[in-house]
Amino acid sequence: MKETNDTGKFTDREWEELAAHLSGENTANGDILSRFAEEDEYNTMKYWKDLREMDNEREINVDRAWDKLHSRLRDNGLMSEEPVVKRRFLTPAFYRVAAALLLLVGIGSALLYMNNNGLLTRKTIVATNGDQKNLEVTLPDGSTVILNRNTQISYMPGFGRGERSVTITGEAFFDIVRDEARPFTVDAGKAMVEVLGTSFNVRAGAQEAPVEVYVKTGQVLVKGTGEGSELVLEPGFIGTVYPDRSGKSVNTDPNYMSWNTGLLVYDGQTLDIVFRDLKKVYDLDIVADDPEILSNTWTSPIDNQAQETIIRLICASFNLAYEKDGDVYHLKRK
Amino acid sequence: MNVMPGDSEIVRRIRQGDKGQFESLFRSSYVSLVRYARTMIKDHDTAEEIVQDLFFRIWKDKDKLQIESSLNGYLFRAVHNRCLHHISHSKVVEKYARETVMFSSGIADDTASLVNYNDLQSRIARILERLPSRCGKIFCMNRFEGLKYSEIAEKLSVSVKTVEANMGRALKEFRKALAEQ
Repeated sequence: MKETNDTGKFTDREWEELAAHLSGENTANGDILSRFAEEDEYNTMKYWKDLREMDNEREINVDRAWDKLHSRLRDNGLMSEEPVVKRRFLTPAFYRVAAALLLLVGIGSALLYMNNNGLLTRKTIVATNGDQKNLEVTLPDGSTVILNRNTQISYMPGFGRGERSVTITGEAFFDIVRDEARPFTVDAGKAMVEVLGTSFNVRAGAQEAPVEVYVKTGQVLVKGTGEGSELVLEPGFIGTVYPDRSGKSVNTDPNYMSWNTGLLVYDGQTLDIVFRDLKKVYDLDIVADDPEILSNTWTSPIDNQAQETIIRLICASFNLAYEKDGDVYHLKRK
Repeated sequence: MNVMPGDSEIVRRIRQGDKGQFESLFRSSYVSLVRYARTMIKDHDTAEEIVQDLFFRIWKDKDKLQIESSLNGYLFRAVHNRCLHHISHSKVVEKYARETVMFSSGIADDTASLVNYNDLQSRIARILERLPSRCGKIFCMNRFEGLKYSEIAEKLSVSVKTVEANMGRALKEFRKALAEQ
């Protein structure tokens, strides 16, 4: 076929350049472009651009569309009412872990069920593993919770009837729909958080670490296990709860919520700190072959750029080269 | 790291009633499909309805779901056929033929031959069947959703270079499809 052979007149690299140019990414070298234009009896360039030049004035709202489809499926008895889970980063491992957790919880619940004389106690559980973060969960009352890695929240079937309460281990950001008649409580083990309608972050990690509650908007009541350990937190404050004491302070770490926002800001921190944050926030593994590289200081914000872009930025700043070995980036002096 | 399950795995999970997988497929392809439908149907709300209805049917008949080519190609072809069906039903076939400069020859009367009509949109559906899943996805994100290379790279957790390479490949296939009669 003559037509198909025509495509052989350009190398793969040239196709890439052409595509980038026709997609408005960069200016390709004029030579390839004019060569392509000469060959272009099928109007490839025009059609390629036409695809983009459609009337795009109306925004397409995926959330609304999903809600609509979901209620239609529900009304037809094709999908049950359950928390809507947005999986932003999918891993098969996640499903295995989640399935295992659900199974364990199922067994646990069955035991409780028998114990409690016929009370239905099957919990709803959503959990993330170590490879997964920013899993967004919508609770039955419309409140949303975004889970960091290794985090689990659960709630009982009666959620929202009279009271709204969830249990958490790990770290999550809560955005709670205001409902003065039904306070929202978070059981974080060592601490109990109570709100009416606010947004806040709960960090309830390792056994020995304190529970931390950071308030973004509204007012939050935090109760420790000891007597008189109640804290009222205003926006910008972090409440810290130990088994025997608690206290509050203004948050001074601009990167406290980076796990959720992806935005990291720096003001002269050394690269070892930056790399530690990049691992935490982006799961980006960087190794400096020469430890001296780590004492360089960094002042630019990092805001959801692609991994490769971040690495290139760092290399360009300190005249370094990088090599990728599996998922690990090795930095070395040029 | 971000591991995208393969097409057959996604189909298998949906057949088994995995709601999360179904929702995630919906969310990741909805905008592209609506924009595509908009190239064929001038009414925005109808375009959204057509895509939502397709997903409604997919879930309703999930145990019959059978996808031979790529999932992306399947979805685009299904939207394409539904749009044609809608057009023929709303009796605007002639008007559409006049307005759509991309048509290369006359228009058929009945729906069956309309479906086989060899226009740009149906070629796109065919290209998407041929391209590897991720490549087709990247092509749609760029051409239909208007995302920049860097934005696509970020969303899919791949490098800009990967996006470049896939777009190059997509353009090559696009050109091939245009050349085929």
